[in-house]
Amino acid sequence: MKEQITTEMKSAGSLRVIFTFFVVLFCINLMAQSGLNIYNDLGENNVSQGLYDKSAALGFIQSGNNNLETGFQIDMNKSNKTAFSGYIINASRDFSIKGIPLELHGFWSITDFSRIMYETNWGVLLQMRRNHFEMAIGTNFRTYSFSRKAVKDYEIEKNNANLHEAYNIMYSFSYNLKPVVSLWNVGLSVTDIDYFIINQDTNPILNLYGSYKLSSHLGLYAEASYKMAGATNMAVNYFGFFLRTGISWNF
Amino acid sequence: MELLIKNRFALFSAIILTLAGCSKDPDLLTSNESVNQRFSQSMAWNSNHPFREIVVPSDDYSVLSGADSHVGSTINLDRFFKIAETTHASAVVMPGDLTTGKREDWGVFAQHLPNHDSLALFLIAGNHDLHFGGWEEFFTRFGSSCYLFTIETPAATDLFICLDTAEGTLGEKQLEWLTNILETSRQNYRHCFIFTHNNFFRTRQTESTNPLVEEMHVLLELFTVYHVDMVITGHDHLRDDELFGVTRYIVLDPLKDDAGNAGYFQLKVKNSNIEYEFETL
Repeated sequence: MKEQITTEMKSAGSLRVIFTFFVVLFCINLMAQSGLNIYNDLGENNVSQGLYDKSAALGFIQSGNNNLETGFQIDMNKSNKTAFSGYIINASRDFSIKGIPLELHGFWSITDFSRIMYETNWGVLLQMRRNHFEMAIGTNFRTYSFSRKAVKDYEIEKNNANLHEAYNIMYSFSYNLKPVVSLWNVGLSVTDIDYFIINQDTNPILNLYGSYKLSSHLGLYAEASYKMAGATNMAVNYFGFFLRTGISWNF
Repeated sequence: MELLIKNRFALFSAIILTLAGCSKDPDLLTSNESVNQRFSQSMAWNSNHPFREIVVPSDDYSVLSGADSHVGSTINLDRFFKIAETTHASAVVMPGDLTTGKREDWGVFAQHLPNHDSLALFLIAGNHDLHFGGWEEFFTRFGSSCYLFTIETPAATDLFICLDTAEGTLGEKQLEWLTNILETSRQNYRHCFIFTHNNFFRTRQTESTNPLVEEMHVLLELFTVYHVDMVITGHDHLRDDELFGVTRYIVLDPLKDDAGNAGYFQLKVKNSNIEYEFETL
């Protein structure tokens, strides 16, 4: 009963976050250029116990060279035992050096992967786009934490409820068949970054992706991602894959 | 410009191919067997070789663990086995990278093992042990790399689980097996210890592979819910000791001869309490 009440409270909390997200998005739409990015992931991996289905919505506003993006992830089949499974806030600024356009991002995210534990990340990322090539490099700091309920239930001492990892190198190297600004594109990338999961730098993900702009406001995209374990062990094993389909809408 | 793009594409392709594990010598970068295949072979071996149940006469006992011996050379390995015999360790666990991975290392390693009757020795494969078709050598000579054993004292019995993470993942089948063991059997034992090759946390910058984040999430929860007391790993060649929740995560110093920090780990159970020491060689 206690667990049921906690779950209901958590669901109510999640609904409040989602509601607030849309209200904020509506308000900021009145003030600056804004947009919405919605996607769905269908995938499978060594720990998912079958197919998983996750969806996410991310809204952004742009004012001059400054951008603010925020979004959440929902676990549709609760493979991680909690429906509301991630939240991110990301601020960035566009600038250029010697004519090369760059974006500097600062972000914070939480991944609610279990009823008793969660993971937070914060970091900075520098992104560059040029012709066919996209590159991003940065660093993040990961902390694993127990929930307050878990600390109580498992009699965990406060000092042992969090574990901070050292800096991790974030990277993404992409090559597009056509220039980045084209109507349609396909490309390949190797990265350790995704919206709500940042892998260790030694665990790269391979992506094949494509995008199509239906209009100047509306775009569709799809990605196929392959995850491997043991790459820098020089003993590589399949870990998982996911297919992502998404729509991006600039208001 | 075209040349520049071609060069970039070549660089990009090289990175992808390297990371994907393709090379002129596929045996080096990818093992011949997947983790699921190795697990199936280990389970087949286990079905003909029941898990060992070690009985000790006293309530106090010790288990020694040494990882990353990387034979080749065997000076530290010999010293480690001698210490294990003279200290009357109830068991010795070696969680991976027993050899450098060369085929000739396996014969050398096997020659230097102590008498089977004088020491209860438990071996686990590491990533180096898979290179150049190494799993076949490991399996033919030593059998399973995924199993459990118990140590029974007059007061209680403790559970020791050995896992194969040589490729940075437990794989689907081994995870299912581990979950089942913890769900059905954990409550029958006083303490639970897990030994495996890959270390879990990255509390310092390192080039060695860890389980992917999604796998970390599942394992951390599992270890907490079923109160795993200690997870003992090697792989990173530098000792580490983290208590997170109810589980202590240990990374061992390496046993290899040319390591400046060569050492091993002594786990002691005294008056039902867990004690441990990192020992240098």
